[in-house]
Amino acid sequence: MLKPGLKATVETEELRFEFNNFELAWEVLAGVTTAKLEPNRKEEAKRAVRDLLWPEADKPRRFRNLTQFIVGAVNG
Amino acid sequence: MRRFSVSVLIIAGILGLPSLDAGQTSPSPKVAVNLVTDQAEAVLSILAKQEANQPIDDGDWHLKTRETSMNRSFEDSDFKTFVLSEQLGKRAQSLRETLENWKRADIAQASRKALAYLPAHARIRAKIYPVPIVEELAEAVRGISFGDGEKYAVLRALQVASERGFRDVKIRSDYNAMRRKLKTKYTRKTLSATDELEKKILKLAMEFDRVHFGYVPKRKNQRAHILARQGRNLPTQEQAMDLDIHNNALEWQIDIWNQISDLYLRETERRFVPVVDNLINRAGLIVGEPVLDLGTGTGAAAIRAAQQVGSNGDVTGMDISPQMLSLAQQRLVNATFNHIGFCEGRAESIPAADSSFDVVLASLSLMYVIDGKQRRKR
Repeated sequence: MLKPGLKATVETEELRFEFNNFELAWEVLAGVTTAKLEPNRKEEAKRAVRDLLWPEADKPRRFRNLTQFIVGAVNG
Repeated sequence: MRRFSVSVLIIAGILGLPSLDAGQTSPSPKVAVNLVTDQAEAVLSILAKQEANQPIDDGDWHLKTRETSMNRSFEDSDFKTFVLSEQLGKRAQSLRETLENWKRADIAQASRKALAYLPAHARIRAKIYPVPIVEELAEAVRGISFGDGEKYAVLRALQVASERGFRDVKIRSDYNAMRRKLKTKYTRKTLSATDELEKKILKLAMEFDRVHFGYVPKRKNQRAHILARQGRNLPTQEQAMDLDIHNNALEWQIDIWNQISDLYLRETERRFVPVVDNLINRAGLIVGEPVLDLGTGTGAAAIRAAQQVGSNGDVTGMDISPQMLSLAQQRLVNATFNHIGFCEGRAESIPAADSSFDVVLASLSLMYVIDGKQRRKR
């Protein structure tokens, strides 16, 4: 952001959210990035993530998310 | 800083008919159509001299007389720049062929055919100028700020209205700052504190019986906005290949966001309420500020911003996805404020004049921008 003349700082906050099950979490969090995958590739990816991160797929999980806020202002 | 606007421009309200020459080309009293080639021929003559590396002297620029007679306020320098531009030079041969085709065309016969579809009392009266008007305007606005593009559009509209003999003209624009200023200066008959383009507009406007500078809401001006954006973004050949790649990526993204818009509103947005809270708190919005929300999605941050800046402020939520914007718009149905608008657009090519906003918000959107270089530039 310095390049176009903005003075920027980055601040980090820990934010939390929850999903009741893996299926919904996948739709919300991976929906965009996997939208155009071939169905079999999408299913393969989904299964891999579920096995690794959410073995009890029908149970809720809470997420901690470190969110970065970039605050910029025009110099001067 | 000025506020955001999408594009101009509707001409409405006509009193008086064009005063055109009687039919020299057509013997029919019902058809009076003239082909006027002097400007095209003069331009081609200049292009031929340029191709032959011959000097172009003042006499070659007698076009000014015609421009003035048509109330067109292009200055010499503007017009010379356009005529001598590399783009026009490259098109010289095709322009010559086009002009020859026009000369060979049986315009009167074509007009009589058109007349057959009109009511019995109809008359066709027209002058045809075979000049590349769209290219001319595109050339004029390419590379300039959006605000100046809006002014060019108003100027050109008045020029066309003048050429056609209109006396009472309504210009409607959603670029409210420009519209208000023009209206005030026009009403007071003053050119003070105006830039060159505004002066040209006002001088020409004062030659009409009446010009009304009206407002059209952004949501009712989408077609003009799209056309203006297309005109302004005409790429050079060098840019075309990159643009194809970017456009494909953009279409890809628009399709996805359209597909998941309902899910986003239902499931994603409520989980990211804390993100919006933090964003708004950090933005430190003050009453009256013009704000842009880039990648507004279903409008959560824009609506919060509108509450912060109050009715004297102005918030524009911009997104690439029409479906997302439609959901955002629906949320305003029961809102008690109207200083917020939603429009299509992208960070690489924000459809707004420079310095239109005091604050730009972007919540969970910058990572999806395709052309980072253009985004930073904007």
